[in-house]
Amino acid sequence: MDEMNLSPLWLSFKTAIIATIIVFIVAVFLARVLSRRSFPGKSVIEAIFLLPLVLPPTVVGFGLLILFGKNGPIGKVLIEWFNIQIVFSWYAVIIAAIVVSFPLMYQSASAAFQGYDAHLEYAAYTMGASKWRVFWTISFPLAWPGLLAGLVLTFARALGEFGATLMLAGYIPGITDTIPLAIYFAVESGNMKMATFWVIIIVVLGFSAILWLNWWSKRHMMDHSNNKKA
Amino acid sequence: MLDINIYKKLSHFDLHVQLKAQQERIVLFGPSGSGKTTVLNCIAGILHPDEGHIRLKEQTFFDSNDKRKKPTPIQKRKIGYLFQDYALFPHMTVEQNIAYGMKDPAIVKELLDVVGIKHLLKTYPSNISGGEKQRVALVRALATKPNALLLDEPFSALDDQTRCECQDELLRIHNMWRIPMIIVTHHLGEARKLGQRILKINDGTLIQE
Repeated sequence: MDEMNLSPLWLSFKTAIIATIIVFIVAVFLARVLSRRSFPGKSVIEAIFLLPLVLPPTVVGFGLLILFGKNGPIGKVLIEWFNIQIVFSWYAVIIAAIVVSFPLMYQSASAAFQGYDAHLEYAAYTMGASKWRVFWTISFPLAWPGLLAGLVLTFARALGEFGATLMLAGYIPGITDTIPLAIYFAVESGNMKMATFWVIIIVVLGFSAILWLNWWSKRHMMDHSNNKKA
Repeated sequence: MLDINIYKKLSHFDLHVQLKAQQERIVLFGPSGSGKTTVLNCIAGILHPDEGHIRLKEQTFFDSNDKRKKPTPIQKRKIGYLFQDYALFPHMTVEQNIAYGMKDPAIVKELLDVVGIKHLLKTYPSNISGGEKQRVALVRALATKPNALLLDEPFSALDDQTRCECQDELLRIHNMWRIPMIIVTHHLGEARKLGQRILKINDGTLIQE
């Protein structure tokens, strides 16, 4: 513990925040577009979106390695055109976090957008509101409790990602050593004190996130059921 | 004038409705599931017919003969729509609901006097009664200065006395506004009271005028 290196904490936070922002924007957009539409192939698309949720993270990591590896279809283009190598870099940590946490946000957002009466949006349209205005003034505020729940779960999942990260980013101290990886390699090297420290940190973070979410949801529910006067 | 002639294939029957309305109140009367709400949704632009046309004043919203013309989007139709469940925005106060698409504050002021909901402006929809919700939804729809008003079972959730009051208010408002109103109901007494013309619809077809 004398030489405590806190880089896993900052790296994990940085990664989780960036991944959460990207996942939130993409998942909310896709969920809004797909939630109230039905077309042939929708189930297949949604199954692909949710696949990382049911697959072992190592399988997700393997798939990402194939895609982003030096000879992979995306990896090759990135190296040849932009000279960016994904594998064993911080980008790999972010990509792994994005892919594994995406299903949680998509599922929450999809449920949130289906959770209110579609007539509310139609009513706004009949009053002349544009799609953009309807989204920001009706859809988003009404879906917000569900979106927030998804946001917290996404952040927690991104923070705790291990398997896919290890496959795609490996363990490079200072570059790809997130907290879960630091725990694993601390145990591997017999440094139980270090492992315990990181375990406590991640348990506290996860517990706080869920506690806050429950508190916020209850408060929000009470606001809606109480006699709310402006 | 509102002029519609629409055909739409539905799961249990084919909807075929033809009607023309001047500045009058037309009641679409028929049992549940007979296609009444679908007619309103087609006029509003929420659904599109398979064939036919929908015109209001000089505007053509839909014409299956003109393949180049896309159906006019809901936002551009200038049609007020009172949904059966009122569809008041739960996260906005009554005032914010009414202001959402408001074109002319003077009209709203006049309407608020007619329906008597001024005292509710700062209240949220979850805290007002069914009759009050109906009045707010009516004012909100008219605040956009629509060229026609569609009402889908507007009084179905109200008790008899409130229903009667709201019907009287609607008649008063129509006398002030003089726009085509299409009112959907399955209540015969209501149809007789509100309709200057009553169109009976069954399994998607107008069977009697």
